[in-house]
Amino acid sequence: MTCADVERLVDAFADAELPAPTLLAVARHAAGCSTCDESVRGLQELHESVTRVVRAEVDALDLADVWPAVAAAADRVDARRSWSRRARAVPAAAAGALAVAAAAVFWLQSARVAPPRDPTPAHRTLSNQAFIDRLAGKDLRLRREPRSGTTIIWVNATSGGLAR
Amino acid sequence: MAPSDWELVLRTRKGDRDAFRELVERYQRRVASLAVGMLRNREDALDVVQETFARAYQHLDRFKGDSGFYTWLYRIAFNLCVDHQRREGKLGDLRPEQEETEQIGAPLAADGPPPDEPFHRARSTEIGRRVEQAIRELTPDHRAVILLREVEGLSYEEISRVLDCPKGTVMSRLHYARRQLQSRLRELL
Repeated sequence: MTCADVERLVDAFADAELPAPTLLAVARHAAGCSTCDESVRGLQELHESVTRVVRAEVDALDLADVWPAVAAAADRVDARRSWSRRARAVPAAAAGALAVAAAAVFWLQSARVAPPRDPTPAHRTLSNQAFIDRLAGKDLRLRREPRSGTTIIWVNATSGGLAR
Repeated sequence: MAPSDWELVLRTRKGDRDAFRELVERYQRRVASLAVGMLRNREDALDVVQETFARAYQHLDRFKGDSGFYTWLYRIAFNLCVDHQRREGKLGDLRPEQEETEQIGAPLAADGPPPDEPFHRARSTEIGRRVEQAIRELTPDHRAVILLREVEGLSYEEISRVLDCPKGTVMSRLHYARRQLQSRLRELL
Protein backbone atom coordinates (compact mmCIF):
# COMPACT_ATOMS: atom_id res chain seq x y z
CA MET A 1 0.00 0.00 0.00
CA THR A 2 1.50 3.33 -1.10
CA CYS A 3 0.56 6.95 -0.37
CA ALA A 4 -0.96 7.15 -3.86
CA ASP A 5 -3.14 4.12 -3.10
CA VAL A 6 -4.29 5.68 0.17
CA GLU A 7 -5.04 8.98 -1.55
CA ARG A 8 -7.25 7.06 -3.98
CA LEU A 9 -8.98 5.07 -1.24
CA VAL A 10 -9.11 7.56 1.61
CA ASP A 11 -12.78 8.55 1.11
CA ALA A 12 -13.97 4.96 1.02
CA PHE A 13 -11.72 4.23 4.02
CA ALA A 14 -13.24 7.07 6.04
CA ASP A 15 -16.71 5.87 5.07
CA ALA A 16 -15.89 2.22 5.90
CA GLU A 17 -16.84 1.26 2.37
CA LEU A 18 -13.75 -0.87 1.71
CA PRO A 19 -13.45 -4.63 2.05
CA ALA A 20 -11.96 -5.59 5.40
CA PRO A 21 -8.46 -6.53 4.10
CA THR A 22 -8.13 -3.23 2.19
CA LEU A 23 -9.47 -1.29 5.16
CA LEU A 24 -6.82 -2.88 7.34
CA ALA A 25 -4.05 -2.20 4.82
CA VAL A 26 -4.98 1.52 4.61
CA ALA A 27 -5.16 1.77 8.40
CA ARG A 28 -1.72 0.16 8.75
CA HIS A 29 -0.22 2.51 6.19
CA ALA A 30 -1.82 5.62 7.72
CA ALA A 31 -0.58 4.63 11.18
CA GLY A 32 2.99 4.90 9.93
CA CYS A 33 2.59 7.80 7.49
CA SER A 34 1.92 11.28 8.81
CA THR A 35 0.74 12.64 5.44
CA CYS A 36 -1.88 9.92 4.96
CA ASP A 37 -2.84 10.05 8.62
CA GLU A 38 -3.46 13.77 8.17
CA SER A 39 -5.68 13.07 5.13
CA VAL A 40 -7.80 10.69 7.20
CA ARG A 41 -8.04 13.11 10.10
CA GLY A 42 -8.95 15.91 7.69
CA LEU A 43 -11.93 13.92 6.48
CA GLN A 44 -12.99 13.19 10.05
CA GLU A 45 -12.83 16.89 10.94
CA LEU A 46 -14.81 17.81 7.85
CA HIS A 47 -17.44 15.23 8.75
CA GLU A 48 -17.74 16.60 12.29
CA SER A 49 -17.99 20.23 11.11
CA VAL A 50 -20.63 19.57 8.46
CA THR A 51 -22.67 17.37 10.79
CA ARG A 52 -22.54 19.89 13.61
CA VAL A 53 -23.60 22.83 11.42
CA VAL A 54 -26.50 21.04 9.74
CA ARG A 55 -27.74 19.37 12.94
CA ALA A 56 -27.65 22.71 14.75
CA GLU A 57 -29.80 24.20 12.03
CA VAL A 58 -32.26 21.30 12.21
CA ASP A 59 -32.40 21.51 16.02
CA ALA A 60 -33.48 25.12 15.63
CA LEU A 61 -36.41 24.06 13.44
CA ASP A 62 -39.82 23.77 15.01
CA LEU A 63 -41.21 20.53 13.62
CA ALA A 64 -44.38 20.64 15.71
CA ASP A 65 -46.40 21.85 12.72
CA VAL A 66 -45.27 19.09 10.41
CA TRP A 67 -47.78 16.42 11.45
CA PRO A 68 -50.87 18.69 11.46
CA ALA A 69 -49.95 19.91 7.98
CA VAL A 70 -49.28 16.37 6.75
CA ALA A 71 -52.53 15.12 8.31
CA ALA A 72 -54.46 17.87 6.52
CA ALA A 73 -52.78 16.93 3.24
CA ALA A 74 -53.59 13.27 3.89
CA ASP A 75 -57.25 14.22 4.45
CA ARG A 76 -57.27 15.94 1.08
CA VAL A 77 -55.69 12.89 -0.56
CA ASP A 78 -58.30 10.60 1.01
CA ALA A 79 -61.11 12.92 -0.05
CA ARG A 80 -59.80 12.97 -3.62
CA ARG A 81 -59.49 9.18 -3.63
CA SER A 82 -63.02 8.78 -2.34
CA TRP A 83 -64.33 11.23 -4.93
CA SER A 84 -62.50 9.54 -7.78
CA ARG A 85 -63.78 6.13 -6.63
CA ARG A 86 -67.31 7.51 -6.80
CA ALA A 87 -66.57 9.20 -10.11
CA ARG A 88 -65.37 5.88 -11.49
CA ALA A 89 -68.49 4.13 -10.21
CA VAL A 90 -70.91 6.68 -11.75
CA PRO A 91 -70.07 6.06 -15.44
CA ALA A 92 -70.47 2.31 -14.96
CA ALA A 93 -73.89 2.75 -13.38
CA ALA A 94 -74.84 5.33 -15.98
CA ALA A 95 -73.78 3.04 -18.82
CA GLY A 96 -75.84 0.23 -17.34
CA ALA A 97 -78.90 2.43 -16.95
CA LEU A 98 -78.47 3.74 -20.48
CA ALA A 99 -78.32 0.22 -21.88
CA VAL A 100 -81.49 -0.78 -20.01
CA ALA A 101 -83.26 2.39 -21.18
CA ALA A 102 -82.20 1.82 -24.76
CA ALA A 103 -83.43 -1.77 -24.65
CA ALA A 104 -86.75 -0.65 -23.19
CA VAL A 105 -87.24 2.03 -25.84
CA PHE A 106 -86.38 -0.41 -28.58
CA TRP A 107 -88.82 -2.98 -27.21
CA LEU A 108 -91.62 -0.41 -26.85
CA GLN A 109 -91.05 0.90 -30.35
CA SER A 110 -91.10 -2.51 -31.89
CA ALA A 111 -94.21 -3.54 -29.93
CA ARG A 112 -96.19 -0.33 -30.48
CA VAL A 113 -95.45 0.46 -34.09
CA ALA A 114 -95.15 -2.68 -36.07
CA PRO A 115 -93.45 -1.44 -39.14
CA PRO A 116 -95.81 -1.72 -42.11
CA ARG A 117 -94.49 -4.28 -44.43
CA ASP A 118 -93.44 -2.76 -47.64
CA PRO A 119 -96.15 -3.73 -50.08
CA THR A 120 -94.25 -5.30 -52.86
CA PRO A 121 -96.02 -5.62 -56.23
CA ALA A 122 -96.63 -9.26 -55.44
CA HIS A 123 -98.50 -8.32 -52.26
CA ARG A 124 -100.40 -5.55 -53.96
CA THR A 125 -101.56 -8.11 -56.52
CA LEU A 126 -102.70 -10.56 -53.88
CA SER A 127 -105.55 -8.33 -52.67
CA ASN A 128 -106.99 -8.20 -56.21
CA GLN A 129 -106.24 -11.74 -57.03
CA ALA A 130 -109.65 -13.16 -56.17
CA PHE A 131 -111.38 -10.63 -58.41
CA ILE A 132 -108.99 -11.23 -61.28
CA ASP A 133 -109.35 -14.95 -60.87
CA ARG A 134 -113.10 -14.59 -61.21
CA LEU A 135 -112.56 -12.85 -64.55
CA ALA A 136 -110.76 -15.82 -65.95
CA GLY A 137 -112.95 -17.68 -68.37
CA LYS A 138 -113.30 -18.43 -72.02
CA ASP A 139 -112.87 -14.77 -73.03
CA LEU A 140 -109.91 -14.11 -70.69
CA ARG A 141 -106.57 -15.74 -70.16
CA LEU A 142 -104.36 -14.84 -67.23
CA ARG A 143 -100.66 -15.09 -66.92
CA ARG A 144 -98.91 -14.21 -63.67
CA GLU A 145 -95.37 -12.95 -63.50
CA PRO A 146 -94.16 -14.30 -60.12
CA ARG A 147 -91.19 -11.94 -59.76
CA SER A 148 -92.97 -8.69 -60.40
CA GLY A 149 -96.41 -9.83 -59.24
CA THR A 150 -97.88 -8.54 -62.50
CA THR A 151 -100.85 -10.38 -63.92
CA ILE A 152 -101.25 -10.22 -67.67
CA ILE A 153 -104.82 -10.57 -68.80
CA TRP A 154 -105.39 -11.72 -72.34
CA VAL A 155 -108.83 -10.79 -73.59
CA ASN A 156 -110.57 -12.47 -76.52
CA ALA A 157 -110.53 -10.32 -79.67
CA THR A 158 -114.33 -10.26 -79.85
CA SER A 159 -114.54 -8.83 -76.27
CA GLY A 160 -111.88 -6.13 -76.66
CA GLY A 161 -108.11 -5.81 -76.79
CA LEU A 162 -105.24 -6.54 -74.57
CA ALA A 163 -105.50 -5.38 -70.98
CA ARG A 164 -102.89 -5.38 -68.26
CA MET B 1 -40.65 -3.49 20.40
CA ALA B 2 -41.24 -0.70 17.91
CA PRO B 3 -42.96 -1.76 14.69
CA SER B 4 -40.80 -1.83 11.58
CA ASP B 5 -41.21 0.76 8.86
CA TRP B 6 -42.76 -1.86 6.59
CA GLU B 7 -45.35 -2.79 9.22
CA LEU B 8 -46.26 0.87 9.60
CA VAL B 9 -46.51 1.24 5.82
CA LEU B 10 -48.88 -1.73 5.60
CA ARG B 11 -51.00 -0.41 8.45
CA THR B 12 -51.14 3.01 6.80
CA ARG B 13 -52.31 1.45 3.56
CA LYS B 14 -55.15 -0.15 5.49
CA GLY B 15 -56.20 3.29 6.69
CA ASP B 16 -54.39 3.49 10.02
CA ARG B 17 -53.50 7.17 10.22
CA ASP B 18 -51.64 6.74 13.52
CA ALA B 19 -49.21 4.40 11.80
CA PHE B 20 -48.36 7.09 9.29
CA ARG B 21 -48.00 9.61 12.08
CA GLU B 22 -45.41 7.32 13.63
CA LEU B 23 -43.50 7.21 10.34
CA VAL B 24 -43.59 11.01 10.12
CA GLU B 25 -42.32 11.42 13.65
CA ARG B 26 -39.66 8.81 13.08
CA TYR B 27 -38.20 10.49 10.00
CA GLN B 28 -39.16 14.15 10.01
CA ARG B 29 -35.86 15.23 11.55
CA ARG B 30 -33.80 13.29 9.05
CA VAL B 31 -35.76 14.63 6.11
CA ALA B 32 -35.42 18.11 7.62
CA SER B 33 -31.61 17.68 7.74
CA LEU B 34 -31.52 17.04 4.03
CA ALA B 35 -33.94 19.85 3.22
CA VAL B 36 -32.15 22.41 5.40
CA GLY B 37 -28.79 21.38 4.00
CA MET B 38 -30.04 21.56 0.44
CA LEU B 39 -32.10 24.74 0.62
CA ARG B 40 -30.34 26.71 3.38
CA ASN B 41 -33.66 28.28 4.31
CA ARG B 42 -35.76 27.10 7.24
CA GLU B 43 -39.19 28.00 5.91
CA ASP B 44 -38.54 26.41 2.54
CA ALA B 45 -37.09 23.38 4.29
CA LEU B 46 -40.22 22.99 6.44
CA ASP B 47 -42.38 23.24 3.34
CA VAL B 48 -40.33 20.50 1.72
CA VAL B 49 -40.56 18.29 4.83
CA GLN B 50 -44.36 18.60 4.86
CA GLU B 51 -44.64 18.07 1.13
CA THR B 52 -42.34 15.04 1.29
CA PHE B 53 -44.62 13.26 3.75
CA ALA B 54 -47.75 14.36 1.92
CA ARG B 55 -46.37 12.85 -1.31
CA ALA B 56 -45.24 9.75 0.54
CA TYR B 57 -48.79 9.28 1.85
CA GLN B 58 -50.27 9.87 -1.57
CA HIS B 59 -47.96 7.40 -3.32
CA LEU B 60 -47.46 4.89 -0.54
CA ASP B 61 -48.70 2.08 -2.77
CA ARG B 62 -45.64 2.66 -4.98
CA PHE B 63 -43.29 1.80 -2.13
CA LYS B 64 -42.54 -1.88 -2.60
CA GLY B 65 -40.36 -2.35 0.45
CA ASP B 66 -37.33 -3.50 -1.54
CA SER B 67 -35.30 -0.59 -0.17
CA GLY B 68 -35.40 1.31 3.12
CA PHE B 69 -38.41 3.52 3.68
CA TYR B 70 -36.11 6.41 4.61
CA THR B 71 -34.19 5.94 1.31
CA TRP B 72 -37.49 6.28 -0.53
CA LEU B 73 -38.37 9.34 1.57
CA TYR B 74 -35.00 10.94 0.88
CA ARG B 75 -35.55 10.41 -2.81
CA ILE B 76 -38.85 12.28 -2.65
CA ALA B 77 -37.30 15.02 -0.51
CA PHE B 78 -34.28 15.39 -2.78
CA ASN B 79 -36.46 15.70 -5.88
CA LEU B 80 -38.64 18.29 -4.13
CA CYS B 81 -35.54 20.28 -3.14
CA VAL B 82 -34.26 20.22 -6.72
CA ASP B 83 -37.71 21.27 -8.00
CA HIS B 84 -37.81 24.05 -5.45
CA GLN B 85 -34.38 25.33 -6.43
CA ARG B 86 -35.32 25.17 -10.09
CA ARG B 87 -38.53 27.07 -9.43
CA GLU B 88 -36.75 29.70 -7.40
CA GLY B 89 -34.01 29.90 -10.00
CA LYS B 90 -31.35 29.79 -7.37
CA LEU B 91 -29.28 27.31 -5.47
CA GLY B 92 -30.45 28.36 -2.04
CA ASP B 93 -30.80 31.31 0.20
CA LEU B 94 -28.53 31.41 3.16
CA ARG B 95 -29.95 34.04 5.40
CA PRO B 96 -27.06 35.92 6.91
CA GLU B 97 -28.98 37.17 9.94
CA GLN B 98 -27.02 37.38 13.14
CA GLU B 99 -29.60 35.26 14.93
CA GLU B 100 -28.99 32.26 12.71
CA THR B 101 -25.23 32.39 12.75
CA GLU B 102 -25.37 32.56 16.54
CA GLN B 103 -27.55 29.46 16.62
CA ILE B 104 -25.23 27.66 14.26
CA GLY B 105 -22.28 28.47 16.43
CA ALA B 106 -23.91 27.52 19.71
CA PRO B 107 -23.58 23.72 19.53
CA LEU B 108 -19.90 24.05 18.62
CA ALA B 109 -19.40 26.02 21.79
CA ALA B 110 -21.37 23.47 23.78
CA ASP B 111 -19.26 20.59 22.48
CA GLY B 112 -15.89 22.26 22.89
CA PRO B 113 -14.76 25.28 24.81
CA PRO B 114 -16.89 26.90 27.52
CA PRO B 115 -19.48 29.23 25.98
CA ASP B 116 -18.44 32.18 28.14
CA GLU B 117 -15.15 32.57 26.31
CA PRO B 118 -15.69 35.26 23.69
CA PHE B 119 -12.76 34.16 21.52
CA HIS B 120 -13.92 30.56 21.22
CA ARG B 121 -17.51 31.60 20.71
CA ALA B 122 -16.52 33.92 17.90
CA ARG B 123 -14.37 31.22 16.36
CA SER B 124 -17.17 28.66 16.56
CA THR B 125 -19.56 31.10 14.98
CA GLU B 126 -17.04 31.81 12.27
CA ILE B 127 -16.50 28.10 11.61
CA GLY B 128 -20.23 27.52 11.40
CA ARG B 129 -20.68 30.42 9.01
CA ARG B 130 -17.80 29.32 6.80
CA VAL B 131 -18.92 25.70 6.70
CA GLU B 132 -22.41 26.78 5.80
CA GLN B 133 -21.09 29.07 3.11
CA ALA B 134 -18.87 26.32 1.71
CA ILE B 135 -21.82 23.88 1.58
CA ARG B 136 -23.94 26.49 -0.14
CA GLU B 137 -21.33 26.95 -2.84
CA LEU B 138 -21.47 23.30 -3.85
CA THR B 139 -23.73 22.27 -6.72
CA PRO B 140 -27.01 20.60 -5.62
CA ASP B 141 -25.71 17.15 -6.61
CA HIS B 142 -22.50 17.56 -4.63
CA ARG B 143 -24.37 19.12 -1.72
CA ALA B 144 -26.82 16.22 -1.65
CA VAL B 145 -24.10 13.61 -1.65
CA ILE B 146 -22.25 15.35 1.22
CA LEU B 147 -25.42 15.69 3.30
CA LEU B 148 -26.57 12.13 2.72
CA ARG B 149 -23.16 10.73 3.60
CA GLU B 150 -21.84 13.06 6.31
CA VAL B 151 -25.04 14.00 8.09
CA GLU B 152 -27.36 11.07 7.39
CA GLY B 153 -24.70 8.38 7.26
CA LEU B 154 -26.13 6.61 4.22
CA SER B 155 -23.98 4.02 2.48
CA TYR B 156 -22.80 4.60 -1.09
CA GLU B 157 -25.36 2.08 -2.26
CA GLU B 158 -28.20 3.87 -0.49
CA ILE B 159 -27.05 7.25 -1.81
CA SER B 160 -26.98 5.88 -5.34
CA ARG B 161 -30.60 4.79 -4.89
CA VAL B 162 -31.67 8.17 -3.51
CA LEU B 163 -29.94 10.13 -6.25
CA ASP B 164 -30.67 7.56 -8.94
CA CYS B 165 -27.09 7.37 -10.15
CA PRO B 166 -24.38 4.69 -10.19
CA LYS B 167 -22.33 4.00 -7.09
CA GLY B 168 -19.19 5.13 -8.94
CA THR B 169 -20.79 8.52 -9.54
CA VAL B 170 -21.58 8.79 -5.83
CA MET B 171 -17.93 8.09 -5.00
CA SER B 172 -16.56 10.61 -7.46
CA ARG B 173 -19.07 13.29 -6.40
CA LEU B 174 -18.25 12.69 -2.76
CA HIS B 175 -14.53 12.90 -3.42
CA TYR B 176 -14.93 16.13 -5.39
CA ALA B 177 -17.30 17.71 -2.84
CA ARG B 178 -15.00 16.92 0.06
CA ARG B 179 -11.99 18.40 -1.71
CA GLN B 180 -13.99 21.52 -2.51
CA LEU B 181 -15.06 21.91 1.12
CA GLN B 182 -11.55 21.24 2.40
CA SER B 183 -10.02 23.81 0.09
CA ARG B 184 -12.58 26.43 1.18
CA LEU B 185 -12.13 25.65 4.85
CA ARG B 186 -8.38 25.12 4.78
CA GLU B 187 -7.52 27.73 7.38
CA LEU B 188 -10.28 26.61 9.73
CA LEU B 189 -9.97 22.83 9.77
